Amino acid sequence: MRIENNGLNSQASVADSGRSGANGASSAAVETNGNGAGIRNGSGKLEGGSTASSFTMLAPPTPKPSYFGHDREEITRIVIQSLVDLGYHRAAGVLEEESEYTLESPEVSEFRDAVLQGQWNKAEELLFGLEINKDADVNALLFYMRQQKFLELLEVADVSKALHVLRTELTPLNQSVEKLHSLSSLMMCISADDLKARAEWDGAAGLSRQQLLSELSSNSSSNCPLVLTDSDVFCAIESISASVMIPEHRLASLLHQVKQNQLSKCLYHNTANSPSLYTDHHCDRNQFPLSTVEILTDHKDEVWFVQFSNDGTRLATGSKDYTVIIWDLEVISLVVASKDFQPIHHLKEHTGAITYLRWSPDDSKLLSCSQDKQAKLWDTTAGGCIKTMGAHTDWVSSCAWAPDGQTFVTGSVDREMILWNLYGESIHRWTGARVYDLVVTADGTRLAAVCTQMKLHVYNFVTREKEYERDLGGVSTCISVSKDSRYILLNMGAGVQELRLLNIETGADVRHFSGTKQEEFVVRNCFGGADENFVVSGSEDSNVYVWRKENGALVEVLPGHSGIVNCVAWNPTNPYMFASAGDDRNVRIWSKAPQPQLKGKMKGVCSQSHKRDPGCLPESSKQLGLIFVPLSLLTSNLFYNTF
Amino acid sequence: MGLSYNVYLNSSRIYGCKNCKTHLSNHEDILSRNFRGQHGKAYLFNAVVNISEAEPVERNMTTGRHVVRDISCRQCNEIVGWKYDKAYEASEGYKEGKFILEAELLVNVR
Repeated sequence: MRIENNGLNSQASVADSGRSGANGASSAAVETNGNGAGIRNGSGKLEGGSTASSFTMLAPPTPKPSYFGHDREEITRIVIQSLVDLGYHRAAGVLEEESEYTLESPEVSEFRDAVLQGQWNKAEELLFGLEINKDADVNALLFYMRQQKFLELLEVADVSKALHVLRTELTPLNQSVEKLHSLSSLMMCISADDLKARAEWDGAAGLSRQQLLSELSSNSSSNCPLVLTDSDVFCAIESISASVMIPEHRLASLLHQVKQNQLSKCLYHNTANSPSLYTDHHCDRNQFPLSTVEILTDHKDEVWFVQFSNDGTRLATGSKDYTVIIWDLEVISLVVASKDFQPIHHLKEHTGAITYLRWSPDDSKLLSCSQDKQAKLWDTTAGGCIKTMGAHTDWVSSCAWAPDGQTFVTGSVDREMILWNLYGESIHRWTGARVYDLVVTADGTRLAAVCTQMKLHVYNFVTREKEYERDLGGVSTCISVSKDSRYILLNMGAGVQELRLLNIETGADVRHFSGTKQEEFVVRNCFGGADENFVVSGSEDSNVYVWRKENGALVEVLPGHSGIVNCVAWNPTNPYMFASAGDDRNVRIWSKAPQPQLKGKMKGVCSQSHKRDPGCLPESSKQLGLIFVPLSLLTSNLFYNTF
Repeated sequence: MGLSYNVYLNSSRIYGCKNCKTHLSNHEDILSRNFRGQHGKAYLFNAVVNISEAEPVERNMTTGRHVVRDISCRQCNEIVGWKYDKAYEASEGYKEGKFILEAELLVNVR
């Protein structure tokens, strides 16, 4: 297994040896009882080529070729680290020996040992012997270490020593005063557990020393949140030079970056599964819901609202014609090729246009809001009105359920938001803001509303206290909340004409989505797709707009409606289906385009089963393009995609 | 047309449509109280909201010939006054682009 100098051969043999090495190590790992100490913890002196001076590398007689243009030493050391991470300690040792590269120098190993064993004086001495990034702040590194030392002293209740560290070691480092204050406040902790909870720190025996090592060695990118960073604040962390002490789990963080990069470039990304490393990831445009597969035409006037039930099996639409219609999707398939939406209830008790609809969490009830100043609670199975909420004195603009389905909030431009129970009794009132739209987060912690005064109001939904309000700088008539309860999406009207994603905790802007036209009418938005990867909005220019949530890239502008598109809703259980409602009195159902070549293949493989979950189709049927619809419907409606 | 909300004014004294309470103008926007309409007292306003305008017509008034258009409440379609498009007398030019609301058709709202 000597590496040859011939480029091609050597590359082949590297790949080869890598494979056999991994195989060998996996069986060997069973026998070894190691925890990586042999490699990491600077016993680092391996027999053979690596000696104390090994890090500076004895120049091999002939230079070894690069690894397809990558630095051979970097790759090898990262592979050694990964082998250790994977538990293949013997293989890592063999690789160090064979390659004559070591994961880290004895000095680094010694430093690592000192930190892991809490020998702080030794660690500080060693730190100065290490190669530090040229723009690194040594004081910041020392601060991290002394902070750990301080916390460990507090943990063993040695308050006087801790105080000494705080005064004579931490304070002179001139780091943030706030940090010092919060550290000194920890001296009031009554127990070690209290300390750990307040400092969010798991103690000397926990992972804290290892975390300290990661912090000392990490660079900024591996330390930032992986998706949806709130702002572009770059958290530069001073660190020990990465070539000396490779940041922890370097290969994993590189692979993660590769995946994130592929996903962010995958415009039509609509799956929740993590992509495979074996191939480059790509989602096909043909798999995206770009085609109108059905048009619902029962409403007699403009359709202003549309929402799918939480289980994705029904659709509620509300119109200027005073009517709410509940539709049942008898069959949902990967490709909606037939008239699947049957109107099952026409709810006709309102005496004004329908402005808003919300399914209860269990889908057994539906709330409707109207310009007749009333909100109504409906039984979605029987289709009857259960309660009428008549306390508002102006249009009821919006409503939202508490996650437990026992209470709900209605909002109105009469300056009131009212909390109701299922008996139609008002429990609480928030007075002051004329509300255009409101949401309650899925975790039940917050109520957020936008009002006529161009403000966002955020309340604690448990205590009912106001958390904050924020000027938006423009009219917002629509607010949606993400499933994870962390982000809200606002449609901004006249003068601004864009969608804004905000962090609900802070009210800070995260991202903008532009392209829509919105001057004077209420245009609504939604999150949608697998993992809520997309942001969708109606528009006054009669198009539906779809963006990637993660980066704000415009994915599609979908024509079809004539007149304003008032509202959009994504099917919560089917990433390939959403609905839009327009001034043209139509509701359009969007899905993947039916594929013409299916026709011949359908015979004999069609299933009669009423499949409601498109995600659980067997792989083979996906390839065949098999769709689960009654056979009788297929011939007539399969190509029902152009209107 | 789509769903659109009425404009809500925010001053301490708001005049609304007597019929449906829709906000029409602020007390501070009154330019003159020295007008008369079909129903008696009327006020000249600098600006009004939530109204729709009819076609312009020529009308002879006590102060001369004007081009005016009736304005009605957007919510209930009740005629609430008129707007001056043009005054032929130079001395009356200050009324152009301003609005008359008839006191009898207004109510104080909040």
